[in-house]
Amino acid sequence: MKVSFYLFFLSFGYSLNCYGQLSIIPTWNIKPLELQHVYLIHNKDSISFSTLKIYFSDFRFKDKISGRITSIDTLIFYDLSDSSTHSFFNDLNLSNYESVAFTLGLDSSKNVSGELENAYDPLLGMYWAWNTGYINLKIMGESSAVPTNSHEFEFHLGGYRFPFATAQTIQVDLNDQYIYFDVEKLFSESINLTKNHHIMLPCKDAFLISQGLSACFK
Amino acid sequence: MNSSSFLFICFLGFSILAFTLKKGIPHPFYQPKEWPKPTYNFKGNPLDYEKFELGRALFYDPILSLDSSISCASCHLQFTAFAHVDHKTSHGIEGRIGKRNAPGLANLAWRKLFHWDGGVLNLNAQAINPITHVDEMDMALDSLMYRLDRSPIYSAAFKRTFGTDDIRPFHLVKALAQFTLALISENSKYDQVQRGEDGSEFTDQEKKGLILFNNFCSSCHKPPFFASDDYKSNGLPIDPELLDFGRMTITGNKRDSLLFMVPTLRNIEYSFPYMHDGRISKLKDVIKHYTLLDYSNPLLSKELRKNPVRLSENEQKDLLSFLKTLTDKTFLFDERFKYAIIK
Repeated sequence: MKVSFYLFFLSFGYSLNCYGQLSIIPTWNIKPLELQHVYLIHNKDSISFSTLKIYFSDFRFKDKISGRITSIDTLIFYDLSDSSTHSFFNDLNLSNYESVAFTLGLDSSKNVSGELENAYDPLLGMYWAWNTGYINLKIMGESSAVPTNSHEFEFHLGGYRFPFATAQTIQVDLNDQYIYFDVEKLFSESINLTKNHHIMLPCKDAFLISQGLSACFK
Repeated sequence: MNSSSFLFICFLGFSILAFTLKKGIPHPFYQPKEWPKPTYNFKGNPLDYEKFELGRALFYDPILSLDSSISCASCHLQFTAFAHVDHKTSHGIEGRIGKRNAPGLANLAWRKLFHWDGGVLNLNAQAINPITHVDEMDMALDSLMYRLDRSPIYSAAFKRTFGTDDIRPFHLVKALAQFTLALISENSKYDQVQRGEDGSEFTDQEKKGLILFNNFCSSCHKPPFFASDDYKSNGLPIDPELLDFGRMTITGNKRDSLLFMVPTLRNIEYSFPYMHDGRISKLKDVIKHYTLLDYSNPLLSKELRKNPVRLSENEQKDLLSFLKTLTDKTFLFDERFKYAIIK
């Protein structure tokens, strides 16, 4: 099995301290994703990322022995450009749990809560003023696969109303303290940059791409 | 004690007294008898008179717009029921014109949805739209926070009211909501008659108008707010230049095409022009619009299709007469809602 040095190093850190924070690690070709780094997609096109922001909520940890579920219904804001947002749940003993389920995005009640504070702050760039609500996942960058002069792509995936409710329930086994988000898989299997490179509102395409997110987490 | 010490002690004493008195002033919001409970979540923004004052100052201050030329009050004037009368649709900075007629502001604590398309789901969030909209104030929130932080007056006011040195959007919108929550209109002639107040009585024409209103209008414009949180088609064809599809813009559902908010009729006499795009300038012509509708139009609201508004010329005058009883001059000229600056 192909295991990168980076992921091995991260896992080694976990084995020394089981009380580590839960961390989200976006990856490309098994390595941690870096903003502005140029990657190869489909072995022919270049791709780089300028923004990756995600909301996570409604965490449910399953106990290894009792099977009991510990719920933490909070909103977590992740921004790849801000390392202070990469890890959370400092006080949780993750070694007690075999798996975690969570929501990528916000359910309808959180969308309409009117909170606007902390993780809900519109200054984080995830708030949709025209349609009260939040973007679940914002990913932007450039790729030679995009057939426009700028080659830019912008995916603002969100929406909480039928038929375009885009929040996704995701479950991963907790082998270590890291949750890996395979961005390469998302762009290989759910997004066709030649045909679709610009989503800014709840719609069928946002819904379909969001449905592919679950398979990208492990 | 020398004279300068005496003056300082007097100044300090007066300052403490003024502060204590202000702390004791009740917030203007109240719950009218017989009205339902408000939908607004007061726990998240407890009523506070000083925050009301801050919200009022912000409402009237063009500091919220990119070029400091437009305030909330530019499109929401008190004497026109906090609606906009200059143009059919609201105007923004640099003479930009929007797509929608700025609606009147009243009894907002009881609304569930805001804007003509229902795209805003709570009062706190509402203010963000006009502030950031390119055709209105066109102000980025981060720039606005920086501007407020740099303002000695506002940085002190937010420190005093919210206890913060770091003004965030939620502080701003909560302050504005403290003001807009206070805009309660419930002292029109209609209200006084309903309450059986001494000397209040409908004229014969108003009585006839009330019967017509109850027969033809109240299923959508529901008392006591004379509005509803429903979105309906009243048969207006689309404006080919504005291309405003209303509620469909928000839901993406074709069935919501050309559905718009059912606005309040309170103070309707003063909140001209009418309809979502201000295309009708006179209230009598609004009534005429309903009498001339094609009631076979399947897109019309079911209330209109089931019960076509067929009114004679005299009945139209009677209905108009009743609608004018919804004018609340106490509200339109309430000193507490007038222009004020923060001190």
